Amino acid sequence: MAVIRARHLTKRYGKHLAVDGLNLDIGLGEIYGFLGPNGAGKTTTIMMILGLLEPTSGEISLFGRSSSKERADQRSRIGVVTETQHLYNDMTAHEYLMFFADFYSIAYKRRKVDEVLSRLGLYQVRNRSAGAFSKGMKQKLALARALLHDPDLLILDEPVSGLDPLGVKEVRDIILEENSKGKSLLISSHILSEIEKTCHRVGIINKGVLVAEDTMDGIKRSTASEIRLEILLEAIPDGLLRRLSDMPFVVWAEIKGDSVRLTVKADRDHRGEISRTVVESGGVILGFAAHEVSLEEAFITITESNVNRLVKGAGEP
Amino acid sequence: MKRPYLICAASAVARRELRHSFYGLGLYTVLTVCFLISFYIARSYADSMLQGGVAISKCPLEYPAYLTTTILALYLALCASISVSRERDQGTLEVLFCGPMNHGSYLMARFSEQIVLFCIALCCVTVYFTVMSLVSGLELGLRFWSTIAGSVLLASYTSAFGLLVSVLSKNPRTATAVFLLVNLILIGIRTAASVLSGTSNEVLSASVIYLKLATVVADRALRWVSPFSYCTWLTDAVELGDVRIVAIIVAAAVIYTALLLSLATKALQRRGVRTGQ
Repeated sequence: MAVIRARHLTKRYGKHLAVDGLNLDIGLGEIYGFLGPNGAGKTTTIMMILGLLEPTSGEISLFGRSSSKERADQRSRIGVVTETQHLYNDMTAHEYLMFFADFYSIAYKRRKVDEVLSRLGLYQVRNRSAGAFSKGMKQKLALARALLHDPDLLILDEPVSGLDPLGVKEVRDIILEENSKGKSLLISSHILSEIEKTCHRVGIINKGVLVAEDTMDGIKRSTASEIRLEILLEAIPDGLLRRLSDMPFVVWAEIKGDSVRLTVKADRDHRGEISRTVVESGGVILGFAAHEVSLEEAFITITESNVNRLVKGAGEP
Repeated sequence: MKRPYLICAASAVARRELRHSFYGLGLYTVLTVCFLISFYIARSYADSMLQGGVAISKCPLEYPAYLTTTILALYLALCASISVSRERDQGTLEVLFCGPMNHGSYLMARFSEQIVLFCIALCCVTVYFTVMSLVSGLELGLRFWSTIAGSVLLASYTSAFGLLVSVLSKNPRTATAVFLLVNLILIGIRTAASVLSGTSNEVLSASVIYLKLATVVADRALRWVSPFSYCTWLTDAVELGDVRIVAIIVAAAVIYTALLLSLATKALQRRGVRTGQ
């Protein structure tokens, strides 16, 4: 069952098309990374999913139900961390979570609040006013609020922004822990290394259009036309560089110390042929490393090619 | 059947706001000012009675009570008029709406908080006037009690209006300005009409006579929408003992309140819960 299902979702502000015919499916127990440059339409999409913005057209269903009248009830099963943390600054962290425990009608609220505060490392500062919190602590308190009612779906908009490396790791562990309990997560973030470490699938939105959607490996593969390889040898045999350069799939080759660096076409796996050539030339292979395309590189490639396509499209009659 | 989620969320919001109001100084300041004014007016009545031996009013504590409850209702409605726009401005409204809350339940939460707060303050007012009556010997009377009862209608009407203004306003400052302006116009027309209608045309210039006519006509028209009229009408109807009119006045005030709250709900749906949406 799809926890979130959006069909032909469109949001228009006057002449500006913020989201254009977006289709989205997020399954049960899935961590979905929602990426896009600033102003791409990520937050607008999230707001429409939550029912805080009315779509111009299209359909959204949450937990298999599409009625917008039930959206408030459905939201009781969702934990949300918004892009900017808006807390009640006059309340302490403990009071704030106690208020939301009442808000979500949680049983044994005091125990639950203490548990969540400890989990996020905020127990020691529970009696401090939320207004006096640092950005990172506010972020953690917002995450604590989102986890408080044990939701089936977590929607996290920039969940690690403002956190120190330790905080980032803590949040990542929480995300993975929640997912291991079968919870679904929709994460929108600019910190692509975090998305890469946690998400099963990613969708890239640009100018309101979902330009790519695949598994992490699929996204990377789809953008890589060439792969960089590095072979560590005992010694460099004579004529190896020429033999490698003559291979039709090798784009570029160089020798650096006892290593050979190659850029090869990514149409298929060429490592077997390269290894055989090295051995036939009398080389002894000590190590073989393939440089993988990072999500960041894939993201830049996809969004740039999409911008070029859109610019070209706009120029055509 | 998950309706209780909405009720729990609304009740949590109402309780939070109620606690917030109790911890603030605003309510206590307004009550103190009202009590001082009432004391001053009641003392003037008592002095006149002692000096002249003539009762100025059949129910001398009615007017101070009316003034106190009106100021109190206006203060709470002013708070209501700031509430939604401030919460939207601060972004906390968006956070609430990420949970089990809808536009109607949110406004009902804010409205109930205002009414509960008003009723609690009204209990203090009643105790204060009872003590004043016992000490001064000034009778409370039927008109006093109907003013106290009628003020709940006034409070509900003005609070609902305050919420509507708040929903429609871009920020708390605009909301405050609009709310005060509308109420000042209503009070101004009412005061001008009552002062001018009590003055003979013979002592007025032609332009002031036209002004008198205009204010009287405006007052008559606005009486149907002005929250201040309902309290006075109810007091008169109770004194006359006309149950039918009392029922009509109560029903009209309830309908107006419901209408304003429905309009506020629709407006909140249209304007959204985020600033600049």
